[in-house]
Amino acid sequence: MHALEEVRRVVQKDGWLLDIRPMASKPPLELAFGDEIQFAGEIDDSAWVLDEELVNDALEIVFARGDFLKERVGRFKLSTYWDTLDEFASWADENWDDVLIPENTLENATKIMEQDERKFKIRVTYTMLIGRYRKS
Amino acid sequence: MDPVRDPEENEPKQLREYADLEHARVIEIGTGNGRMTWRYASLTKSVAGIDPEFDRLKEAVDDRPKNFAPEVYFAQAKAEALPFKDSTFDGAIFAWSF
Repeated sequence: MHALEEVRRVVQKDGWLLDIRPMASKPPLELAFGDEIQFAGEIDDSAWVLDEELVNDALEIVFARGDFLKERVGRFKLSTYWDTLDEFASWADENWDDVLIPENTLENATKIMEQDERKFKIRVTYTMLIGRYRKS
Repeated sequence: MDPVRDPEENEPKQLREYADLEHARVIEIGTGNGRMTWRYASLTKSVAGIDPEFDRLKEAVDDRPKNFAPEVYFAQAKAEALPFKDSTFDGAIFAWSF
């Protein structure tokens, strides 16, 4: 909440605030080869749900107070690609404290890659929220 | 090896569609290593990238394209205490940092 007040202070009258963040959405882990995509399983990002609710609640308070007006909110897809499953697993281990990769998701991915010799990339696609709010 | 994020360029398309970036003075909260900053900074008048993590900001400074300096600059700060005067910016971006 205090961060929003501080941002409001440094933005000029009628200035804008852009909110861009991944939504907790159980993103799919897929194997991609060109346009061909094979679904391996979901990633468990349910630990983000509470944080997301807290952020949304804080925003609703500033909207209700009239500090910012909600102008436009949308969603889009954002994909990240790794060259190998090992690279993905190691990156996830280092960067995701609170995101779980279910065992069967990794097993499915491994199975697909063992049965098909093409050089698949590992793809995780997040649903992103994007919102534009106006200082009032 | 670092992953490749958003080769489809959906993020910069959305940024351009949603934010009035043209010639704007922008503050980016949670700028990290500047990954997103480089995708829109050329449209703006200036960008102040803010992040509490010094190491990530150092990466951003090291990676900053020469033609962006000094219009794109970085400061170690938390969103709760921004080292700027009132009404300094036309817009703010919370980049994956709410």
